[in-house]
Amino acid sequence: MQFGIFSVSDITEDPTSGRTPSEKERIDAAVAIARHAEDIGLDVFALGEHHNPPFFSSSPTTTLAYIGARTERILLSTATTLITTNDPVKIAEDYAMLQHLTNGRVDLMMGRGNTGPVYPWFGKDIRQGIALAVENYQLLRQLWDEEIVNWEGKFRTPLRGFTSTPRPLDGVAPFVWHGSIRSPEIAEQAAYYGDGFFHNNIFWPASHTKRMVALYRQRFAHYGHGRPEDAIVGLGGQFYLAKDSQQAVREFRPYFDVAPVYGHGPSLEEFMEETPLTVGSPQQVIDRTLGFREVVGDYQRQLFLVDHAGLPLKAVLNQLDLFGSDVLPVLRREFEAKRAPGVPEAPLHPRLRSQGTSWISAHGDARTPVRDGTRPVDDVTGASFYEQAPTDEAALLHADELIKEARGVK
Amino acid sequence: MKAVAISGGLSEGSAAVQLARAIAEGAGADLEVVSLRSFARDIADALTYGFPSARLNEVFAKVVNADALIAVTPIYNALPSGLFISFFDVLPEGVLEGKPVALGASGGTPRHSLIIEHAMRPMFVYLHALVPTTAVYAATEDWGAPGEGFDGGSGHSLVGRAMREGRELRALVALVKEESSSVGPGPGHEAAGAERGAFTHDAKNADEAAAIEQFPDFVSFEQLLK
Repeated sequence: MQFGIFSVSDITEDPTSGRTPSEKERIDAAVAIARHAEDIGLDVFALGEHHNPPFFSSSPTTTLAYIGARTERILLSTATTLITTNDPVKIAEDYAMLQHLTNGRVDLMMGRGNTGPVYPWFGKDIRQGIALAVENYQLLRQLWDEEIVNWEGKFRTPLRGFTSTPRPLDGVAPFVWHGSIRSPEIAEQAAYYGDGFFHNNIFWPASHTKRMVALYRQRFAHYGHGRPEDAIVGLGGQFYLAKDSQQAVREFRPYFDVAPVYGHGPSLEEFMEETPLTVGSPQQVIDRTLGFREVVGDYQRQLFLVDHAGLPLKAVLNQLDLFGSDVLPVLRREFEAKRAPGVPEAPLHPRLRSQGTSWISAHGDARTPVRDGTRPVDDVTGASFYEQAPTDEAALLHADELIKEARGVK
Repeated sequence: MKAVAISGGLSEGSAAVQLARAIAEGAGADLEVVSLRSFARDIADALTYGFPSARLNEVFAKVVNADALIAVTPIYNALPSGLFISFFDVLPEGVLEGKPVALGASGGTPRHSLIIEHAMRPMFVYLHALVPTTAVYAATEDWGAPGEGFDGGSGHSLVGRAMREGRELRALVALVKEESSSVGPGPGHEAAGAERGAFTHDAKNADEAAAIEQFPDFVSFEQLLK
């Protein structure tokens, strides 16, 4: 089971001080939060993608590469990567590049984006949202899984003999999650490819999460990827922690009441009733999170939104400290103890598996295909029109054959 | 026949509810009145949250299970009450498709009597409800005040029109029942029903079929790829 945090990258006023951080301050804060997440022992840091104020994260791979350079082992992911408005060729290139730079510490979550005006800014039509997500992802898979791509579709210019570079690290593409809130089509897409499905449930009641995940699990089995319980499921969540619940509510209410995503609607108490938001003691956060398992079954990734509602950096880092000391160890132990035998972990790049990084459980992971030793392209020039031998040894033998042939020795 | 009145009126004995009762009487329907006043917070929260509360969901279920709907509202500022419109904004898509819905409105002046035609009927037609041609607007004097120059002296005319609307509503309900017994799903549902049937066949076991049933507009990935 992986635990991590995700950030939407919003720049929101701190309502208690009336101060809004500058872009520079907020970007630096995101890096500090990611590094601190690693320090407290979290497994994943995921960053959103937005192309309009009040968000900063228009260029996630730039940020993630920098975070990758300043961290050692935390997995870098997205929440989400816009599969609709980005060119799949650029996604293939950017994230393979990030894989190489971070030694495989990368996966990503596809999303359609819900901001209507963004589509035309990138020459797309929101009414084609699902169709774009389907076609673009199909192309992205091809770009990562096939050396030479010949492709033609509705939404971009055709590709002839195109090779996306760099190739995925060791021939293994980053693992892909498909994030969705309410579209069964996206659960179906994740199931079809045997990819992960992340239900961003932070504003939704458990009954909705349950039916979305159930659809994904059943269809995952339908398409022959394993049993329903083998499907790879991720959930969101959000909390504000203090030593006891009274203190937590007292501290967080001023933020909740006016935050753009929370305030001016249902009360804090009602919101906690209907959605995963938990404002309370470590034990409350533990119980609530373990409760998610009752709703969707054993799952593989839990991401929390911590830098929300305009909380200043210092408060976010304190939240992480308290989470790391009082919540995370219990969650790891309890989820591990409750997990049914045979339920897989989320796939990781083979390089991380062999390093025995902390989040890999004894259950291992047999799902990621590894192309051991294959040499699909010439390592020196980066491209080749000639067929390549699968291993160095085979290449030498083949060269020997050619030399012998040339010398007339048979 | 089971009818549910959705009333935008702000009191239990409001003119809008009285109108709904007269229409239900004309239809010979058992009437359950849902006064939106009691769900004002839930409706506002559903608008901001994006999903309905459990008790608002119960109202939606009543709408789904009713043979007919009687939608009535007071007219404020020359338009239906905002609460009334908001309810239909948060009602899940497709719920009113092929459902008989009688319309009524009440107001303080007869000058707004065409408001049903201008502001209410277009919304329900857009939602593919089956709306009777008669729709009753009741101004204060229509209830029997001795208003000079209006024909409602004793309220007979108003009740007569409401009863006629009720009879039209009953005819639509009968039509829908007849249709559904001959072709299966009700009018407008044939295409969707046929497709859904195909996808349920696609399911390999009961668990999968049940998971798919949760999503009325489910489309399999093979279809999406086309």
